[in-house]
Amino acid sequence: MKAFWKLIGDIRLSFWLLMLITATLVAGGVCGALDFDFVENMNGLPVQQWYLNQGIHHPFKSSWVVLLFLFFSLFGINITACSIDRIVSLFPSRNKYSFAAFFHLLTPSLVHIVFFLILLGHLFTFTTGRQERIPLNEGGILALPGGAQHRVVSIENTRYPEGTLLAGRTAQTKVRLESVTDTNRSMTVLFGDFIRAGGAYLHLDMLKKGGKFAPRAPRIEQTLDKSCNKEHLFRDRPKVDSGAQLFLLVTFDPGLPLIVTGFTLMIALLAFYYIRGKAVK
Amino acid sequence: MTFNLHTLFYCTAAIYLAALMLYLFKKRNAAFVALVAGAIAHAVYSVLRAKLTGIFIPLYLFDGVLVLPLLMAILVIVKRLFSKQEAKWESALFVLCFFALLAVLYPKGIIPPMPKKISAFAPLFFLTETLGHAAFYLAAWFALLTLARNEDPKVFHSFVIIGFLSFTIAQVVGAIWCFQGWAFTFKWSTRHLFSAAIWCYFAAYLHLKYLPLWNDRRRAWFVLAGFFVVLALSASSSIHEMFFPRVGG
Repeated sequence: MKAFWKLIGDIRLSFWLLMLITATLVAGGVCGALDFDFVENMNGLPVQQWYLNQGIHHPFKSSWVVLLFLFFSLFGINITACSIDRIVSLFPSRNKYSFAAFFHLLTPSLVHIVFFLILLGHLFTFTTGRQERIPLNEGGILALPGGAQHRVVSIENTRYPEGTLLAGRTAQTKVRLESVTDTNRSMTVLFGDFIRAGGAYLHLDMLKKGGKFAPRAPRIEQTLDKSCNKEHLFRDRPKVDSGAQLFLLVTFDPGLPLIVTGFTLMIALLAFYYIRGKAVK
Repeated sequence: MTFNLHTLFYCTAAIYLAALMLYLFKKRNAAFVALVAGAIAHAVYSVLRAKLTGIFIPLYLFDGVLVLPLLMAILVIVKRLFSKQEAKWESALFVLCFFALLAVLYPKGIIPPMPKKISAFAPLFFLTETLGHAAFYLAAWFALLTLARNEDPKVFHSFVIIGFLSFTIAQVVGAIWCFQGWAFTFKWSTRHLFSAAIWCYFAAYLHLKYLPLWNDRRRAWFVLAGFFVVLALSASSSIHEMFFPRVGG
């Protein structure tokens, strides 16, 4: 048992697992570059659901996902075991140091444990997080999580000013939602911001509709491709077919609190480690 | 020949090249002065470029390929002025000029911003990410000097630490920005996967210190290989973005 514990907490194992994770992430990135939609479809679905629906039918393109979860799981166990080992070995000498000095010694191990929490948060997000898209049209009624019905009162686009190179493009969109049963209750959603409703996070999103783009300068149209760059959706174009549809993203992400807590703790611990280290020097 | 804002960038690249020439003629102090002059011109260009559209958009201060040589220059200047380590800091002009020449060939216009990109976290992300890349490239250069000329390995190690800290901040800031715009802290996409790969590669490097088999020379080889890892993984998105529609150049 002791030998097994030593093996799973071995720092050489940490190194080789990190190398394997690096290689797997690169393989995943290459898959995403070769087949954008295949990897993009993983977003907003629990990963196991995506794998059973799509991944399993393309083992060559999806095996990196399985390997990534395997290696990260092993790495999580490895860093936890390694950190516990170090904390246990340091603990008997705690009386030799002041509290701050002892805490400074423990900090690298605590950072590793916090990193494990962040990994765990991502695991929750990837396996239980889900996302729905609700099309937004003025006057439309939508049911938000929690059952409350809301009407889309207005969709206001703020454009970049005339006389600038961005004239006519959308700088921001403001969507006002009003409760159907209580008109005093309203909420506003903006791009790059979110609101909470019924345990979900609500964001604005813009996606291309199935329709064709109205003709524009050929150089620009020819370069449209499948990627995360969606700037073309925010350009003014003739109304015959706007090509873009505004959506409300409804996201349930049970892993987020753990990820945010982990990030906060990690920043606090690293700041303490750095400041204390400087003070000691 | 027409002169516009981007002419200033070509002048900046010329100043960096002049600094390299001075270094090659063993005028180290003059090379350093030229490097500082190049960095000032480059910073002015970056600020003006952020106003290129007629509106100041902080995001465009830190356009990866174009700002990389500036961040390298700043790191070298700060090291030369404040570091207690002895090193041929100006020799980094070789790698700086390499990236300045790549930037000369890169489109200078801006990719019009989506509303999701107008977040305070977006420029912070690009700043810390590119600073991380800059430090990793410099680390690789000084690792090469360690291998070729027995330079102090602490020099390349210190750049890896700067790069790793900056890149870690980029991962956190990027996660916050991603949540603001796309509702998850991580997106399954080539960009995010490659970025995580770079972070894991250098996280692996940090563990080598505790493995007796990995002496300074072996670790220098590892960091040198990191140059190609960062270049390949970050260049893929930069090359892809070359074909995005741009305005202003």
